Amino acid sequence: MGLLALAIGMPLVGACLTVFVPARRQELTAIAAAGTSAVVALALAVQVWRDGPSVLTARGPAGVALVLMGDGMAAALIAMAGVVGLFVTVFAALGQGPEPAVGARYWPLLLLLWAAANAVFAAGDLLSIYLLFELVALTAVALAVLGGDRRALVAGMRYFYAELAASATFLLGVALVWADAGTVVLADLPPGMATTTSGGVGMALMTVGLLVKVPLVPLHFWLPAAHSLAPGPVSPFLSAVVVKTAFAVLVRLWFVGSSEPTAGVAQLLGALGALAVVWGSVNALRAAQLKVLIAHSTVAQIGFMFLLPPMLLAGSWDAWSGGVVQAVAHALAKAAALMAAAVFLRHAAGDTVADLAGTAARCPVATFAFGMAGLSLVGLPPSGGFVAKWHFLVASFQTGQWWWALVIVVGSLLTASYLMRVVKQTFAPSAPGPDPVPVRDHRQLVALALALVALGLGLRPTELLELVQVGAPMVAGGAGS
Amino acid sequence: VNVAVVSIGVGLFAVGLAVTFAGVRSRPRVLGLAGMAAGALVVLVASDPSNPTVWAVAVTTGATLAGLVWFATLLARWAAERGEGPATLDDELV
Repeated sequence: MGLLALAIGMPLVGACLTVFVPARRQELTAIAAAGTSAVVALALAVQVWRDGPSVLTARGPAGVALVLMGDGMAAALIAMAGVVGLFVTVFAALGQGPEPAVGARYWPLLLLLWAAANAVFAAGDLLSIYLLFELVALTAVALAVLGGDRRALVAGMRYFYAELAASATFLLGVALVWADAGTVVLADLPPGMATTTSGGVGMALMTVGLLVKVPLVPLHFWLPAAHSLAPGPVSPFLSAVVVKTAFAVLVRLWFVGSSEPTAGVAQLLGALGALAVVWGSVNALRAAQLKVLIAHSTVAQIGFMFLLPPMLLAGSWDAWSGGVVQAVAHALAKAAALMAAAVFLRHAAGDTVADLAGTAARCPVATFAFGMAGLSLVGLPPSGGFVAKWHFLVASFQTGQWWWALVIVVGSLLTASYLMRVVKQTFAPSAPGPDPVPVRDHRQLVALALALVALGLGLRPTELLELVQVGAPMVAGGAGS
Repeated sequence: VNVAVVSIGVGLFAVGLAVTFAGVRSRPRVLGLAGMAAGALVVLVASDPSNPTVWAVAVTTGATLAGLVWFATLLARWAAERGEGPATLDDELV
């Protein structure tokens, strides 16, 4: 349990230190804090995998409690945040100089967001989750507008309005559930609570709030602009880690307590996920700007994660593995792709896909990194994305819900189509003039290393698959441990 | 649970929601969000008004919400200083 508290505390301590150290030491302090946080996160994953789940509870009066759950899902997501956070920190540190400076506020905000995200991944009570979401929203939006131009601010405002509306909706749901169940601890919610009027309305309101925060189509209106206009060292953490916080809470809300969704609710969530896969992919195919394309890709990839509820409820163990591994694999691959994209855009003539002509010659390592990350996003073997989609496919046939297999196949083909647009354009001949020469940008190596981690997840997935099974929910259909 | 007070809270939340999504400028939107937050807090307190824990939770969550609403006004002011116009962002981006 000490490691769980440390996994939350280390980035928090790092955030405080980066506020107080002299400006010239900020980067070094941030890298040290990120490295330590990543090591602690991985150690936590090993501990949970080896020793099983643990729960830290501090109970107060009137059903109020602070609960931290050190189960397999929390450990896997905290480890994912640790790896992504470390790579993002190194990427940002190497980007100072010619890259538009993100300023001294970047480091404490990033580390604070990291700590808050880790705490959300482990939180097991509704009031803590609500308060932590406020911290996530505040720091994520502050990071997203660090660039400071008007468009980024307008996008950040829209992001923040959505977050605030979602938080108020979530709080209203918490109030109704607390009044109905007399507790805010997820594991203590009574069976069938969603079938009472106030309990059902409360669960519905919390779910809507979480769907805005994830976000899931059709509540995704804020994401493409906010993520695509965020600075280069910010987008990877937003797209990889922050969108997973609300997903983790949603899964806990419906499956860790005794309040399983009805088959109709689970199918609706799956259908919205399928809609997100198609809608996000089609918009990615249409997008002119590179970062907008990747932001729409995030909308689509989130959709895959929502295939978990209907198939888990039907009793498929593989659906659980597929959902959590998809969250981890997408994070690693998407962060690598966004880092490669930041390098592309630094050395390209403009920010559109068309401007990428000649990029493969200028940024060969980043191009290779983008391609490797793309393999995982498409779900080709050997990659983490393949492991996730394979488990979803198995689950769809196990449960007889073959239509989700169709979504996975169509979604993968669409993903390959929009990513190939980018890769193909990087090999297109550049404008007449001297041949492009390879640039010296060490951030390419960071992107490549992370892309290889995403790929490596598929070469040795056993430990991750065993980890996500630790403390997984028991559902009516028979899945769980 | 005081049904009348819960109804007031839900009503306040609904009006806030409507104002938030009907507003085209920052100020009414922020006011709408504040209304949604206030409605949620009213329902929270109405669940058990005699319980000091409920009040303590309401004060804590209310304080964080107030902080967030303040940050929203700050963002709106920064955007206005940089010439916030109609929401044409989607046209510019896609």
